Amino acid sequence: MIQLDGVSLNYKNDVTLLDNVDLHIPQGGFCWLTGPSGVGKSTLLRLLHLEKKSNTGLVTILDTPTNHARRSTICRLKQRIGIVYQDFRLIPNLTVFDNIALPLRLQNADETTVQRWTARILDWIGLEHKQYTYPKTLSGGEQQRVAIARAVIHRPDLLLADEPTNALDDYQVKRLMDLFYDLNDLGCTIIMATHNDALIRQFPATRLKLENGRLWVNNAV
Amino acid sequence: MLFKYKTSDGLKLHRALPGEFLIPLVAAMTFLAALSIAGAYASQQLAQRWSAGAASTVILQIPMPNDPSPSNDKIASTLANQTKIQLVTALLSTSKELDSFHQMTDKEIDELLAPWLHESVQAFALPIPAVIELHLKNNPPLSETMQKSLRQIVPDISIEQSNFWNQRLNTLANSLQTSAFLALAIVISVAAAVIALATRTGLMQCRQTIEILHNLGASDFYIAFRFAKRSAYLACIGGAIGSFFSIPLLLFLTYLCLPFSSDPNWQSLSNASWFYFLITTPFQLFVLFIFLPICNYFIGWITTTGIVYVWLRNLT
Repeated sequence: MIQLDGVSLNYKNDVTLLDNVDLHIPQGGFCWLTGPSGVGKSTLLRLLHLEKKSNTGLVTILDTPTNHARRSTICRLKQRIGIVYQDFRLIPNLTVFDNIALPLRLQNADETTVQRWTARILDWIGLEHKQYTYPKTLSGGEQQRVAIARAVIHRPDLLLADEPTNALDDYQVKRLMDLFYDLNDLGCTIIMATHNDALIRQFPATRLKLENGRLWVNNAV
Repeated sequence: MLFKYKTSDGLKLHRALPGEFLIPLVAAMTFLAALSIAGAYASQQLAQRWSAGAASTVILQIPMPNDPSPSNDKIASTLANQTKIQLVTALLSTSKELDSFHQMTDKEIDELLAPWLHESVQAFALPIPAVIELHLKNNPPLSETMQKSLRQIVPDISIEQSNFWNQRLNTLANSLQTSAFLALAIVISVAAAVIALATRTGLMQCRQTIEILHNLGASDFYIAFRFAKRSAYLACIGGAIGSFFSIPLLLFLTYLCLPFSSDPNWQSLSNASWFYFLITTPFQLFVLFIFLPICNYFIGWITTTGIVYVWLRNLT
């Protein structure tokens, strides 16, 4: 469960990105996050990923109040969250395989599991032949697929995706949405930021619209 | 349990914390630390030697030792046929505050005066006093009772007590020791500062990777452990090199300190081989030099862990 109670967030102390926002998403929910460019969608995702702290209000992530949580608690929570960044944020000096395997290794999964799961997801994203190459040699679409694979490999309880379909073709978008629905069926809460209205129409779900610091919730019909 | 495949986390610490920067600096600091420790040890030994030697020694000079005692004291009158030296020796033999005493022989007096007279004192027929060296059981000075008894037997006896100089020499030795420890503390602080600086540079270099790892759930402990392990390893290597290079200098200093050694044949040792100095250098010093790299390891570990924790707290 994700809950925001009266959350406000200012950017450089003068621009209000979130103004007294309340939000409740039950475990296993699926939401689109929309809004004009620069409105603060990525910042809201970073707040939910516990990379940023709100100026006021209470933030509860995966049933855990985070405002006064210990650093070790935050760290354990982050291990239960998957995130796809708009700019991918792959580690340049790690191979595709090691980038994808990173969340599992940070959770001390045994190496046999790491090898098996990483090989499976590499096969799924169609990059098994590039597992020993480095991110800078990949195209934008390939990097995005690697970033998605890294976000889902450890079967997170919460998946935050910032424009994850930007660099993908229609076929890859369809496969990605199938994967996200499968994860959602397994109980993973998904919040996906996008500008793509066609995609929202194609895959109807609760829509969170961020505008002028306020968050509007439109439930799917 | 920590992440098993540490080379697969992208931190690349051999680039972020390069050995060619940290090792020589830590080695230089260790070299200075070794010298400080050697200095502290030497001054401690010197202080002990002064305390055990000069401090507990009292010199008696008896002019015309073979003359009968001029004293009219009862004791002297009962032993009227005895010389001054015989009376003093008899008194000293019964004293309980002495550990031992030694009357210097003519040869020893000759050797003592040789730098001034260049010939045997016997050749000049000078009235040389008898010299007796007293080794006290406890700290000086010689008790008032004993001094009074000696003056009763031989009124013109001269009693030279070295406790005045001993106090000053002890103060000097203690000052030297304090200075050496202060120098050691400064060297340790500088070494820690160098390690801290290197760690900060490494953290800045790896900032992007650390941020990603942190966002994927890497704990502060994990990142601090990775940095601390690398930095402690480099500090230990630097320490070992610094310790190793300090040994020849230590031997040279041992050679320079020979005149202050307790060995009466020190002049003949000046031609001894380096190996002799190696085996006669105090064992405690070698043990300390073995401990220096280990100390460096812990200094590196603690400093780096602290810096990484503080840096990570400022990061998020």
